Formats: sequence, C-alpha cells, structure tokens
Amino acid sequence: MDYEALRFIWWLLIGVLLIGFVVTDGFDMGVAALLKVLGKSNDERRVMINAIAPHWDGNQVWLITAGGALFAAWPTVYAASFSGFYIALMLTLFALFLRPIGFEYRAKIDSEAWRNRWDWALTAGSAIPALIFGVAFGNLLQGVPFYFDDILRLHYTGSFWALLNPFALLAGVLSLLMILNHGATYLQLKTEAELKARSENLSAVLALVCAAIFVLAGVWLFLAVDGYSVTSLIDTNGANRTTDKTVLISAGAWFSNYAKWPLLWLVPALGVAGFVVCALASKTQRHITAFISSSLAIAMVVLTAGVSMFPFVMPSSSTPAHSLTMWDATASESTLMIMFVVACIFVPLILAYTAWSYFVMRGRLNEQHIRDNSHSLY
Amino acid sequence: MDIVDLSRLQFAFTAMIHFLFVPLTLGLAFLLAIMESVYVMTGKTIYRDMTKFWGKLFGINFALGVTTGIAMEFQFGTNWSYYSHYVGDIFGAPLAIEALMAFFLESTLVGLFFFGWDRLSKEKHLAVTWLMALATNLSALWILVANGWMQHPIGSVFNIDTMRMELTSFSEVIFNPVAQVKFVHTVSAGYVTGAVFVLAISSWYLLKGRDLPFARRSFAIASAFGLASALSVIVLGDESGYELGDVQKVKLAAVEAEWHTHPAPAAFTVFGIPNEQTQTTDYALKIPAVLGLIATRSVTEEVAGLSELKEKHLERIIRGQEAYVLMTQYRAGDKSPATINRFNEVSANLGYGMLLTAYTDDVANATAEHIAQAVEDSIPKVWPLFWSFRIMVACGVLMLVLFAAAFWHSAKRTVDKPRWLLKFALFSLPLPWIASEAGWFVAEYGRQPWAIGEILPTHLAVSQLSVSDIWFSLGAIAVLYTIFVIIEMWLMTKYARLGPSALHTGKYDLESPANVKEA
Amino acid sequence: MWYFAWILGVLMACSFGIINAMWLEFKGYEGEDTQAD
Repeated sequence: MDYEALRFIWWLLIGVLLIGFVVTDGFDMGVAALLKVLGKSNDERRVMINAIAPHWDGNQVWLITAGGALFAAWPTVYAASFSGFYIALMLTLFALFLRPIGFEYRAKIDSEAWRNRWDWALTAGSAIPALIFGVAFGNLLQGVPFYFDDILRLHYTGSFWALLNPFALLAGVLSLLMILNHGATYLQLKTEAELKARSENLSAVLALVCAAIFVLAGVWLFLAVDGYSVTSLIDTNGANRTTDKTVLISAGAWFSNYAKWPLLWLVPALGVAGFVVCALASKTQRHITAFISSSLAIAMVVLTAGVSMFPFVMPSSSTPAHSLTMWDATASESTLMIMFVVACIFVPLILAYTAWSYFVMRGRLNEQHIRDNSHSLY
Repeated sequence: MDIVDLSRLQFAFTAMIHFLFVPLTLGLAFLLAIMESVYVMTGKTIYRDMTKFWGKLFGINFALGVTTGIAMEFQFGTNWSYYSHYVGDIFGAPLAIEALMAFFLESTLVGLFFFGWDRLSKEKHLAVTWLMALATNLSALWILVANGWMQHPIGSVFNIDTMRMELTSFSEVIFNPVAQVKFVHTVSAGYVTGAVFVLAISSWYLLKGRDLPFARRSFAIASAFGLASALSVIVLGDESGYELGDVQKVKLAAVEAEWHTHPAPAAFTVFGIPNEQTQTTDYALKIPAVLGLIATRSVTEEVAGLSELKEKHLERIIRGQEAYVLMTQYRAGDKSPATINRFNEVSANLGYGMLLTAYTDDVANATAEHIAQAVEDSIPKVWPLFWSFRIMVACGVLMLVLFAAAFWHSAKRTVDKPRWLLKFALFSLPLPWIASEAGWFVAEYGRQPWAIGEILPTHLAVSQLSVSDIWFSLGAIAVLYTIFVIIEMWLMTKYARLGPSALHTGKYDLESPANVKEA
Repeated sequence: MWYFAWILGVLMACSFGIINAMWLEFKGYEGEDTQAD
C-alpha cells in the first residue's frame, strides 16, 4: 500500500468516525435536547433519559475518537481547526461538560428544582454542540481565514462573530434539526404510548423540514458560495508540501467532483430520500425503517460535505495556497499505516461489543418500569 | 500575563482537576471487580450490595472524570496548535489508540455495569466489571505512553521539509522506559487512592457503629488491595526512570537539589531549604549514598548536578543556534548540500536553538546575554520540585503505614479495630490526592522549559490566540469546574453518609423512613 | 520490562484482596452474631 492509498483511506476513515459520531451520539443528543419538548412529566423525561442512559457514554467516544484520529492522521488539520475555531470549540466544550454530570447527577437528588436545572443543562449540552458543528461545517465550505508562517505556525485572522454568517447558520440549523429528528426516531423504538406517538408526529414533520433545508443549502452553495480547486500538481505520494501549491477560488467549484463522477449525485440524493422515507415511516409507525432512514440521511449529509470539498478539508479564504487538503496535511506514511492497522483491528471489535450492549439493553421502556426501579435508574 | 503563561495556566488547571478523578476511577474499578468476584464465588448478597454501593460513588466520580477528560483532548488542538502540528505524528497516535482500544470499551461497559444487573447473568456481569477495570487501566497506559514520550522523546526524527517530528519506531515509543515506569507508578497510585477511599469511608461507618458487616468487609478488601498497591508504588517509584535523557536528569537534580555533581554514589537530601542565590541547600540533612543507589542502581555512577547540566546546555544552545539558522536558510530555499550536511550534523540541538526564540526574534544574532538567559532558564526552579517531591513521598510513606496497620488488624480478625486506626484511616482520606497532584506537578513542572523534552520549548508550542480569548476560556473553565467540583463533593459526601442504605434494599441501618428523605 | 511487572502486580494485588475477603468469610467474622448473607 502506498502513501497515496493510505491518505485516501484516512480520508474515508475520518469520514467513518464522523458518521459514527453523528449516527450514534446524534440520537442521544437528540433525545436529550428534546427532553423539554417531548417529555411532559418527570416520569416521561426519565423514560427518555433511561432509553439512552446505558449508551450515551459509549456513543460520545465516537467524538473523542474522531478527535484523536484527526490528531494522529491529520495533525495539521487538527491543530488548525481546533485553534482557529477557538471560541466556538470552547463553547462546544462547555456544553459537552454538562452531559456526563447531567445524566449521572439528575436522579441523585429528589427535588423538582434540581431535576429541572439538569434537564436544561442536558438540553443545552446536547443542542449547542450539534448547532456549532453544523456552523463549523458551513464555514469550512466557505473557507476560513488563516495562513502559516515560515516555521509553519498557524495564524488565524478571523473572528468568532464572522463564523456566524447566514450560510453557516443555515448549516447549523440543519445539523441541529437532523439530530433532533434522529433522537425522535430513536424514541419511537424505545418508548410506548403517548411519548411514542409524540415522537412519531415530530419526525413526520421534522424529517421533511430537514430535507427542505438540505436542498436549500445545496442550491445556496451552488449559487452563492465560491468553491476551491487546486490548480498546481499535488504530489499525492510525497511529503506534505502544505504551503506550496496554487489554489483557485471560483463559483461552482464545489460541484466539480459531481461533474467528474456523476454517480456521486447519489450521495445527496440518498440524503434527501432518507429524510423523506423517515417522515413517511414515522407517520405509518414503521419504527425501524424510520430510524435506519434517519441514520442514512444524516450519514449522507456529512458525506455530501466531504465529497463536495474533496480533496480539501480546510480551505483558507485569505491565503488559498495554504489551504489544507487530505493529500498535504496528513501524518507520515508510517503513522498512517500503524493507525490503519489499529483501526482495522479495533473498529470491528467496537462495533461488535456496542451491538452486544444494545442487544442486552433491548426493549421498550415505560413509566411503570421507571417507578419500579426508581433508585437504580437515572 | 501573555498567551504562554495563560495557556500553561489553563492546561495545568484542567489537567490537575482531571487528575482528581482519574486515580480514584483506576483504583475503585479494580476494587469493584474484587467485591463482585467475592459475590459470585460466595453467593453472599452483601458483596453485591458492596459492589453496587461503591459503584454509585464510582459513578459520581466517573462522570466528572469524563467531563474533564474531554477538555484535555480538545486542548492540544485549541491551545497548543504548534505542538499538535509539530509532534502530532507521534503524539496523536497513542491518544487515538487510547480511544479505540480502551475508552470505547470502558464507556460501553460502564453502561452495562450500571444498568445490566438484571439483564446479565452473574458471570457475565462479573466479566463486564473486570473488563471495565482493565479498560480504564489501558486508557491510562496509552495516555502515559504519550506523556512518557514528552519527557523522553525517542523513536522519532525531525523532518525539515514538513517542519515537524515524524515517527521512526512505534515500538520504541510504546516500550519507552520512561513511559513504562510512569505507567506502573501512576496506576499503582490510582489503586492506592481507591483503597484509601474505601478504607476511610468504611472506617467512618465503624467509628459510628453503623452497617458493621458491610463496613468490615469493605475494610478488609481495601486494606489487602491497598497494602499490595502501596508497596508497589513505592518500590516502582519512578525515580528509576530519572537517569534517562537530559530532561529526566535535570528533573532528578532539581528534585534532589543537586546543585553540583558530587563523587559517586550521591547522598540523598532528606530535608533542607534550597537556596537559588547561593546554589546550595541550607540546613541540609543528608544520607550518604542513597540517591546514587536509587537513581543509578549502582555505587559508581554519578548523579549529574545542575551546574554541570547547565554547562552542557550552553554548548547545545550554541550548536542549536546554528541549527536554527541553517533550518531557516533551508526553508527559505537554500537547499545546497553544504547547508543540508551541516544541518544534519547539528540538528539534534535544534530544540535548544528554539529556546532562544523566547528572548529574540533574530536567533542568528542572539547576544551573549540572550544565550546566558536561555541557559539560566534551561532548568526549572528548584524549590517547588524539591518540596512537592518530598510531600509526595511523605504521603506515600504515611499511607503505607496505614495499610500495614489496617491489614494487620484485618488479618488478625480484630472485629473492633482500635479507634486510633479508624481515625487515622479517616483523616488519611486527602493523602492520595495530595500525593497524586504533587507527583503530577513534579513530572510536568520538572519538564520545563520543554513541552517535548529537548525538542520543542513550551513557549513555542502555543496557539497564536489573543490574550482575551484565553482569559475568556480560562475564566469560564475556572467557574464551571469550581461549580462541578462543589456539586461532586457534595453528592459524594451525601451518598457516603447515607452508606449502603442508598441502595434501598431494606437491609441497612438508615432505612427507617425517619432517617431517609430522598434518593 | 515494567509492563510485565504491572500484569503480575495487579493480578497479585487483586487476588490478595479476594483471598483476604474469602479467608475472613471462611473463618467467620468474630463477634458477628449472625452470618451476613
């Protein structure tokens, strides 16, 4: 296997990890963010929380792993994106702080005020990261202002407020809504009676809204967002030459991959189709179909962003030549190889024991079950 | 304060708060596995209740461990972006492997540990608990492989084209001797922390005469596990890693206030007041030969003193200055063989040349004063290291005495342990945390001025952020963490006071309705 | 090889804990009126 193949594999693997994160942690974030929307009583909210209680921690590790893999496989991208989006990342972090303690501490004290505070903490802790991740992707598609100095130190020249532009906010809203929808489809699988009915009704509408926003974002991207393309030759097999290339900014450049390989249109198409199927399945109470199609849809949304930008991962709007691509911002060949082997061994293992834990905890929860096990459940 | 100070402060604060929760998780996980094993083997439900009750406290602690852990992984990228770029090729791998191999397993199994009691057979649940304990330790393994590499960076080489360190041997990184001793020392310290925690709280029940069968059994398990662990922390103390590499040598010299190299074997300073001005230790109480024996495992090898180490640093900074200049020329386009050859000869000192960038932007024309200042700053302050090391050792010895006494009384089957022992155990509760934090401080502060020993100075490793951005994040983190820690300690105290009655099995002392209001 | 020492050490410490508990259980806790179940 050569360096070029490894670089491509790592582009795929980072994609797999991000998709793993939105598909798994996405539903528990969605459920937690819906606590105040769908849960009408403490018992209902406890049903919702206990539906995800055994799994949210494992799910969140997809995010940790994506961060770690970014560090190992694309160190420069990790360095540039995390420090460039400093304030946004810090806000995400503060929101994420609230989740582990919110889940663990909420049921520890029997007081309405105490629980109410943690409900809001869980809602914020789950909704804010979803929103910010969407905004971050919206900004990556537009390019962000940074450059490298002569010893490859990164200097970010934008401000936090510039991140909050209309296109990025739309992407943030899409990200938040699809996570909420995903949470609602999970609740369809795990709850009973009214809570289930409310989740079905919510998904039936929300999934269609997601489809509409996704299409709208695509049209906007085509009409009003300039894309990037590399005009010099990149040595895809050689050492990173991150700052030695020429990059052109032009309208419609984010659609050049689709023109080159028309089959790629399947990716956004499946995304839209996934949302539509999810809405229909929720309406007709086909819960498994609803959950799977929602998973497919959000996976395709992430993939659409990746495919459109390929080979870019973090374009620079102020110094386009310093843009980071998956060919010239990677780790060394030996690190990519070692990490590839590690991923080949552990990702299947992770999938296996995660599946087993879902199997062990299978079945629907109801309020009676919560009351009977009040002291051992969340 | 500038961005370097603020970033360091933020990292130190988040790391030290994170490290309040990690050792307890490491130790308590194995104690839970031990208790549950006894339950499965004897079938006595009291051991299941013990697993569940100490498991509740484990959960309260674990939640904050996860919360503060997320911050750690993000911060390398957010606040140390040049570091991440410069060494990510090596340093990122263990962090990613930690997540894939250990943290996934740990987090998935924690869910089954808490919620799987009725859904798994006894044996399967026991297997879950053991694997969870193993996974927490594997987490620690990879983190300490990464940290060990910062102290003693081997298995890697500088690549001038990509302007970063690149991996040459992953097995060298994994089997890095510094990482090995650090790992064993740190996890054993975690076991001690878990054992002191269980011992102290059980002793409190015994003092109060409450839940006696429960408390005695917890006491017995904690004292046996703790004694074995305390012995291993001290025997495997990581002083054995201090002869390796320049950074570790500097650390050893500073920890022992060895201002000058003395004839072998070196004496061990038990007590004294390090004096930076005169470069001596006032009122020193020394035991001949002991330091040489511990640090070098020989009677003939010298332990390097600070003044001799500084002389070496002077030479390396001058060669490093040349390396830095050649590196800049090469990157500006001068790729002549002469430049490349000369660079390769001196490139091992590049990190020392980078030290100069703290004092001047024009490294090529650094003055003699700049160089002298860099040499002076090439070793950390002595007194903080000298004292934190002694605090750590004192706590360690006290805990060893505690476990020895506790185990003695437990093995003698003295049902009513002497009250002095129970009080000693109760008041020992803060000791493992003091020792852990002091030990962590020695390891990390002792590495200064380096982020990566001899490779990358701390001041260069930071992200180019604005001071106000870091003030914002530091302030917010300080406020949030303070609130979290207060809530955590309050809940922990509340549940510890409640004891096994918190399980609502109907069998324990506080469960008459008058005594229990909630939970 | 310190990693190896750790494997042995942790096994020893855990078995030490288990054995101590089992041994006390086997001998019976002095002074306890009723056996804990």
